[in-house]
Amino acid sequence: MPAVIVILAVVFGSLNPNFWSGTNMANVSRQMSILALLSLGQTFAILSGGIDLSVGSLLALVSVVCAQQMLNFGLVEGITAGILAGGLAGLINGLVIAKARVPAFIATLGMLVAARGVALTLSGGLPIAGLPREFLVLGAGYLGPFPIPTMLAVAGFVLAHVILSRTRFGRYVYAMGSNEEAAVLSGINVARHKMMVYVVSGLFAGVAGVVLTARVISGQPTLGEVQELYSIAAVVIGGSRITGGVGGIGRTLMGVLVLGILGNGLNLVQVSSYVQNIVIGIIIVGAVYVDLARERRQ
Amino acid sequence: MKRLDRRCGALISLAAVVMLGCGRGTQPSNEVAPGTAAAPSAETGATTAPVTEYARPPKPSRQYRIGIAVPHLSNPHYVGQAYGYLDEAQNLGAQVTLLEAGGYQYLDKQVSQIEDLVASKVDAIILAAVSGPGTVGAVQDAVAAGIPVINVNVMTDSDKVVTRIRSDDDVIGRMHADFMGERLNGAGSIVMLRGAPGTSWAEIRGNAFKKRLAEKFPNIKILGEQYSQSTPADGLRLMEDFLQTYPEINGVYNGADTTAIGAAQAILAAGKQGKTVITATDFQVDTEKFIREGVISASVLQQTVTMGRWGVRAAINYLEKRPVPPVLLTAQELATKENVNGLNLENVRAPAGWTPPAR
Amino acid sequence: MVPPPSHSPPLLDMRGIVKRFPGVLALNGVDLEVRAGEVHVLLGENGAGKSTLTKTIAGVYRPDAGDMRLDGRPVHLRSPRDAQALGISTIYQEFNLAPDMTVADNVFLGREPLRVRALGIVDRGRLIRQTRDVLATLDAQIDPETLVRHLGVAQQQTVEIAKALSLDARLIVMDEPTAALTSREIERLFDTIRHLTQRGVAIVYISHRLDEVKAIGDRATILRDGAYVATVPVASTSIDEMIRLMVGRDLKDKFPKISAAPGDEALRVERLTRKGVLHDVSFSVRRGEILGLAGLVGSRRTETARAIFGADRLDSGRIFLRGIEVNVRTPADAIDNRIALVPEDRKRHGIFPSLPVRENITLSALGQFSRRGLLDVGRERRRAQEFVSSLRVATPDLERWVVYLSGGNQQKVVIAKWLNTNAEVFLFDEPTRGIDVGGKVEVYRLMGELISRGAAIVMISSDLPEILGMSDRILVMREGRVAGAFDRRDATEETILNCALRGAAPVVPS
Repeated sequence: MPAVIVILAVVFGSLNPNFWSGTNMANVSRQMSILALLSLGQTFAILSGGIDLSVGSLLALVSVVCAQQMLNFGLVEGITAGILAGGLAGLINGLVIAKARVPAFIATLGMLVAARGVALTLSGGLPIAGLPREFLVLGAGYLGPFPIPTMLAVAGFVLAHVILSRTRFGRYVYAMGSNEEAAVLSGINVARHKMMVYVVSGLFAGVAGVVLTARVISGQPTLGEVQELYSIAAVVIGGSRITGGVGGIGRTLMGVLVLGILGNGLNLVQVSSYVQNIVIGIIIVGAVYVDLARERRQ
Repeated sequence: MKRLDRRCGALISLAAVVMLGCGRGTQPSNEVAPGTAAAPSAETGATTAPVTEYARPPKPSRQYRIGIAVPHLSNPHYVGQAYGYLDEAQNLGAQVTLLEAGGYQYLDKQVSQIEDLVASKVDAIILAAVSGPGTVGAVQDAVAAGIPVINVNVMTDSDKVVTRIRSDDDVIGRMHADFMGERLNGAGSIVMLRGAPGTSWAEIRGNAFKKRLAEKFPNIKILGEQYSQSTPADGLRLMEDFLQTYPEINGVYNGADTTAIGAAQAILAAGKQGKTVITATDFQVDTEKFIREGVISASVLQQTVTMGRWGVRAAINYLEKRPVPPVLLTAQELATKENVNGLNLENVRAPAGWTPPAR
Repeated sequence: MVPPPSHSPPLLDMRGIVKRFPGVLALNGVDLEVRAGEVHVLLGENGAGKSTLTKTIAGVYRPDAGDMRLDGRPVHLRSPRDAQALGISTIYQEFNLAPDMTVADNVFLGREPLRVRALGIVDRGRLIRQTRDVLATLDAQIDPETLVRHLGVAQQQTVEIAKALSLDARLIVMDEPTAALTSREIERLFDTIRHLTQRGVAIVYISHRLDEVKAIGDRATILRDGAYVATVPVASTSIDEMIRLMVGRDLKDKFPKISAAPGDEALRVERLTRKGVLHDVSFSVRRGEILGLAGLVGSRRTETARAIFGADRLDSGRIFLRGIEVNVRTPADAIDNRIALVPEDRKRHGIFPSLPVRENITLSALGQFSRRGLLDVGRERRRAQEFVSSLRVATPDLERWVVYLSGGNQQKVVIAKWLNTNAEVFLFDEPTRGIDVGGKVEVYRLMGELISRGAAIVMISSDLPEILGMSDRILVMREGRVAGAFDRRDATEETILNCALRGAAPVVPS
């Protein structure tokens, strides 16, 4: 997979040298940061043997809550409210999945629909404007040469990696995905840890939603359509197994990079966005096929 | 574990109450139309009166690169506008990159597209904004990078644009109201399909319509109004729901024509054609057909091709260091069954068979 | 056992078979000659190459060298379908059944009798009838319309056998077919095997149960470490001799003499009841003692262990550890109370297939490796290595995914996991199922070490010699109740079986 990324970068770079420019790199990384954050949460869900289809709609919900509370109370309160809204939705997902034992696909599908409904209801369907201009910094600002959203995404990657590879919770996530029944019989509180997985996913969506709201300096109930599917694509292209138990944050990083470079590269060589979708669809299937073929040979 | 469940349940209920409660308080009022705050309106008597004629400048000495971002190209309105952009650019020797966001709901995509245009160092950007407030940051960045932004058709809230080119949405709204009022003889019940939420055209037109109705035809009642994406499917769905809810609907206002087409189909299915007054904005082929058949009563034509041409002209003028008026208003015209044959559609539609380059 | 005619060409003739995997030479020039109508046993320890050889016969693997002839004609199998088409059928130790389909569906999967050929419409009537016929030859009381998911392990095994039998195979490979069968079922299976061999079908039979091998086998081929050792006539070869050929040394003690002075009461359960499952089950185990739990399939011994472990709920009953009553409602509670459960079905309940050996071993006690919230992988590695060495787990390294280990080694990893939790009461459910002779001895020795260090063991087993050889006391269960109890000195296979079947036996006070 790293080889693929290098090849793609070289190919696109040679077709359009603008690819390597600082502004382009900054742009791409900033644009991908939202998807990257979503994919981090999605990685937890998929590794644990589940999936989170609601993260796209959560972007809209978080955006609306963040904007409204920012107007009501203030900048920091708005940001906090947005992130908490994401976590809360994740908690609901977790309860439905872990306690009511509804399959994750169905539970998060329901949340996908409901969350957008809540976003539209809270906002009356209209965007919420009038947010303080300082907020724009979170979405458009720089920390040195790096865009702030990019730094947040990188921080998110580091944090997620540490959790998954070096904490008990992370180990249990893999165990649940690998063999849930054995996990129960090994003394793992599967219900509690499953809930935590979805809270984590919701919190990442919360951060992503706040950053996105900053980028467009308004609360928008229509944000995030289809993004949940791209977050799944990133995880899967990276090589994590869709049934769980295999994979990791490093792999998701690869998947996000592939999607980002592909999208940006194809834009720069003027390939229409319709064709881009075809390419991405083929890559998703192809990446999974290659991974499975490698496993079978073992 | 049961205690944890109860605590979770309490937490969720509390949060829901807080969210819903605090949310209500800041319901954005329909009276505050986004995009108008910065744009000087013709009625407030700005220092420079809005311009309604705009000639083609001489061909510039060098080839300029212009980036154009529009909400989508699946609507004949924007296809016409695209023709305006591209044809005019060809005449003025400019190279054009045309990008579409895929729909009014893809704000993130449009912001990314503006950023990409800035990164590829175009000389000027023409923007038909997907959202008024949402594009402020991106426009600011473009201007800060030294790239002028010409705002066409759908307004951004940013006050850093070079000029705003649009139909006079106030006039459009009033034309709708006048037609509707007269056709209904001053009395009746109507519904409104306003169009895409958060866009300047949906807001200004709809508000002007309501204001005019209240002034001139106070006996006409507005039963309900809905926003939606500009597609016939949305119009159809909303109209069907309205027909179910209200037994008697005498008129339907449409901010665009795509929803009108859907509404017309709903009216046809209910057998109420001819008895319900449908007004629309724009003039795609299906709209024309319905007007000829008498299902859609009237439509306000926008000179969308002209908007495209003027956008490019304004960009070239600015780049050639000539002064550019801050507001340019294109003309509008009311089309009905009576005058449909005599209309000049040169500025309203792209030539038959023309399609924008795949993007 | 009809002695096959000695001058007919062999049904299957494999010579010089070599098979390599990355890092491992699984078969190094192995010969196998199987005659029509014989029961040819494959013997060898775990890792000797039996599984690889049978998979080669079945067309799953293609040999890197050597040739294979069927009826004297060379064959090159490219897939299991090729093998099936040539009349070779395999019954694996881990079943290949679709749990959410019926028995009949599974038996005739892919070969359903059709009512309308062109449209592929299945004739369900014939499907059920034909399944019933096949099951009747096995004397199995199984309803063809039951979902496989609802059958116990033994019954699923029967369905697998039925499936192979329905294929009219000429050579059937059976991998540990009797592992989960009762004595009565084993007898029936042997009858069926004899019936088949009389019709000229050859059976390649893999088993660790040497007394069964003596009962049913005609010839035996012994493999050791991927190499061919010898082919012997079963009738005239003693078990000791077979063991010697398998391990290359004399295994004096099949059941190492373990005795530890029994100490205080470690575990006592009183009147465990769950409606429809367990009824008034009571017993106790002392430190340093092994309590064997015997019974036929369906006696609910596994359910008892799971209830004690907190994996299943109880309607009533009390559990005492070292005399103090405890409340065990989840496996986590059990672990806190130093109870361990080594489950019967390791594939479903025991291992984490996509996790490395190291993580499988440490998972139930991660607290030991947690420093300020983060895991100390180095410490994990050292601890895992200790267990891998002391249990002699055959794995190239600690990071290998457990799914790639052989069945016996997977079992060792599961046991290591529990050893790592410092449990004091061990519930073993069929601990040596699917493990070779050498491996079994190691597990027994391990159990001996545990009790000598003061642990208490409850061992569920369907292998009567194992029960008799290892237990200090024996409890017999029947249909969810305690049927009888014996002291080691007073028990014989007959008395235990009697008790398990009829529930009538003297209850010896413990």
